Amino acid sequence: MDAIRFEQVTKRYGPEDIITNLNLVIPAGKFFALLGPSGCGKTTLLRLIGGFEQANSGKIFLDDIDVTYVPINKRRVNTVFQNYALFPHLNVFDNVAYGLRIKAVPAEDIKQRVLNVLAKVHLEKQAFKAIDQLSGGQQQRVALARAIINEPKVLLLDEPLAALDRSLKEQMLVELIELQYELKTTFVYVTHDQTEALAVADQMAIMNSDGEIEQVGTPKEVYEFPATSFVAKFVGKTNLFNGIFHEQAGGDFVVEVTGIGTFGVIVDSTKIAVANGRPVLLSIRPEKIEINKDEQVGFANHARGRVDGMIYHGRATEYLVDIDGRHINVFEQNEKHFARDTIVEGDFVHLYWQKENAVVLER
Amino acid sequence: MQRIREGFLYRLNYFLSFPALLWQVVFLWLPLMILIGASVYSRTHHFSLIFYKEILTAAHLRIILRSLSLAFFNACCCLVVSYPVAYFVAFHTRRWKNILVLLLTLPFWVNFLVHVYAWFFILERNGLVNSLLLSFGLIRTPLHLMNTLFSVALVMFQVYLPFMLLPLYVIFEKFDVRLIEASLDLGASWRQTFWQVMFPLTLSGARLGFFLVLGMSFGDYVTPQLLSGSKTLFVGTVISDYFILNRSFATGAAFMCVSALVLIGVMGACFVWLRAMAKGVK
Repeated sequence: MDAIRFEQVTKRYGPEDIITNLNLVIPAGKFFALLGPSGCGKTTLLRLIGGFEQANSGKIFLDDIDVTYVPINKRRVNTVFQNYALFPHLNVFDNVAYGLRIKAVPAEDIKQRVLNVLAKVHLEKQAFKAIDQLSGGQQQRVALARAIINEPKVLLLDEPLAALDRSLKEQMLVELIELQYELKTTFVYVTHDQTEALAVADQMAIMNSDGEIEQVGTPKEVYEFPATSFVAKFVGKTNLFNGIFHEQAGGDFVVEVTGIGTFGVIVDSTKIAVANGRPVLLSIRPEKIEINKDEQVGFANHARGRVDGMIYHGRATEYLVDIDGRHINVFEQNEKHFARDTIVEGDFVHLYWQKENAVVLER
Repeated sequence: MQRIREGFLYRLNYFLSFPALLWQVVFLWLPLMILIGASVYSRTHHFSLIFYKEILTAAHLRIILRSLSLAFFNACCCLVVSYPVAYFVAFHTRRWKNILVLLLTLPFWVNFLVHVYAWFFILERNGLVNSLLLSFGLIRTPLHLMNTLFSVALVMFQVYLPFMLLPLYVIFEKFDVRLIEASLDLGASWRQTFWQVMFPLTLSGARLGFFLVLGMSFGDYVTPQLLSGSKTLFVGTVISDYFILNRSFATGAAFMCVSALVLIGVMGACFVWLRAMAKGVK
C-alpha cells in the first residue's frame, strides 16, 4: 500500500512554480528520505503532505484517501519541525502530552503514554524540565516524542538533525532507524545531506533544484546506479567524463573519452538508449578506482596519471590524479597500519576499474 | 579575573541607573509622599482621616466607578482591536512592516491636544460626521455627539490605542509562527491553538498594554475636561477641581489616594485572574 501519493501536484508561490506536475509514491511503513539541494522545494513537498500548504493543482492521497483539501489538524500526519517548534511555556511532559490533551484523552492514560514515549526517546529523567533547560539533542527528542505519541500514519521530519553536532547526529540517526523499525510508521525524512539520507532510508527520492524528482530507489540503487548526472554528482562524489558511446564487434560497449582513453562499460539497454556515436556521460565513483604505482592485472579498464594532490581522511586517503590536464578523484581505504609502498605527490600511478563499476548516463 | 570584572560591571549598573533613580525619587516618590502626607494631616497639624471621611461619599465613589468602568471598557476595546492588528502586522506584512509600524507610532508624535481638537471638527454639530450623515440623508437633524460619554470614550480609544498596539506588536514579533503550525499539526483547532499557545505566549504584552491603557484612561484629565462638558465628572477632573478650583489640597490628595488604591486593587485582581487563566488552560 502507498502511504502517500502525489498526482500531478503543482505548487506556486506568487508567479514562481516551486514544484510542477509532480508525481511521487511513498510506500507505507518505510523510512523514506527526500534528498535535494537547499531551496529545491523538498520542504514545500513536506508541507503539502502536512497540510501547511495547499496545492495549486493536482491531488495528494494519504492511505489512498484524497487529502488535498483536508486541513492540517484533520490529517493523521505529525511533523518534527526543523527547529523543533516546542512550546516554550510548557515543560517536557506537557509538550509531549499536548496532542493527547487536545483529543481529551483521560489524564491517567495521558500520563502512562507520555512516560512510555519519553522512555522510548530516553528522556524519562527530563520529564518535568522546562524546554530551555534542555540541550539541542534533548529538544530534538522531545519534538520526536511529541509527534509519535499521536500514532500518526506518517511522520514528517524536516531536516531534524541539521542543528546537531556530528557525533550526536550519528547517534540520533541510529535511534531514528530503530524507532522507525519498532513503530512501523511511514517516516518521510527531508534532508540536503546525502550521508544522512543514505544512512536512514529504505527508499529515497532525489529532487533537483527545479523541484523535479530525478530518481526514486533504495540508497544502494541510487548510489550505485544513478539515473542522471545530477544524481551521480549530488549523491556521493563522482568523476564525470563527456564521452562517445560505441558498440564493438563482439557486442561489448565502450565509451571513448577524448584525451583519456576508451573504456569498457556494461549498459542496461532498458534504461538508456544504446546507439553508436551517441554522446554520453561516464560516471566512476572515486572509491571504485584502484590506484597503484605498479601495474596490476585483472582489471578491464586502465588509465595512467600523476598524483597532483592528496588529502588524508583517516579511514581513507583521497588522491587527485592528473591525466593530461583532467583531474580524477580516487579514494583508497587505508586498510593497513603502514602501507609499504606509499604514494606521494608527484608519483606516476596506474588507475584501474571494472566495467560494472562505471555508469553511463544521458548527456 | 572574571569575578572582578563582573563585580565591577555590577557596580557600574548601579552607577548608571543613578540618574533615573534620582529622577524617580524627586519627581515621583517625593511628590507622592507629600500628597499622602497632606491627605492625613489635619488643619491642626495632627494625624487625621477627616479628609478621607469627606470624600468617602456615594457621589465620589460613583465618580471613581464611572472612571474605572470607562477605563476598563476602553482597555478592553483597545485590546480587542489591537490583537488582530498586531498579529497581522507582525506576520502578514513583509515589505510594508516597517512603514506600518511607523504608522502605528505616528500618533505619539502628534500633540495630545491636537488629537482632541481634531475630534472637535469631526464630532461637533456641523462637523464631519453630521454633515456626511445629513448629506446621505441618513439623519434629518444633526446628532448630538460632543459632550457625551460616547465622545469621551471614542477619543480615549483613539488616543490610547498605540499604548496597546506597541507592546502587543513587540510580543508578536518575538512569537514563533511555527508554534501555531505545531499546534495545528498536533490536532488542535484554531480556537484551541489560540487559547493554548497564542494566549499564554502573548499574555505579557497584552497585560502590559491593558494596564497602560487602563491606568492612563482612568486618570485622564484632558479628554473628559474637553469632551464631556462640565456635567459628567471623572476622577481626573475632580482631582484638578479640588486642587486648582477649590484649593483644598488635602481633600484632593485624599481623593487621589483612594482612586489610586482602587486602580491598584483592580490591576492586582486582573493580574491574578489572568495568571490563573493562563495556568488553567491546558
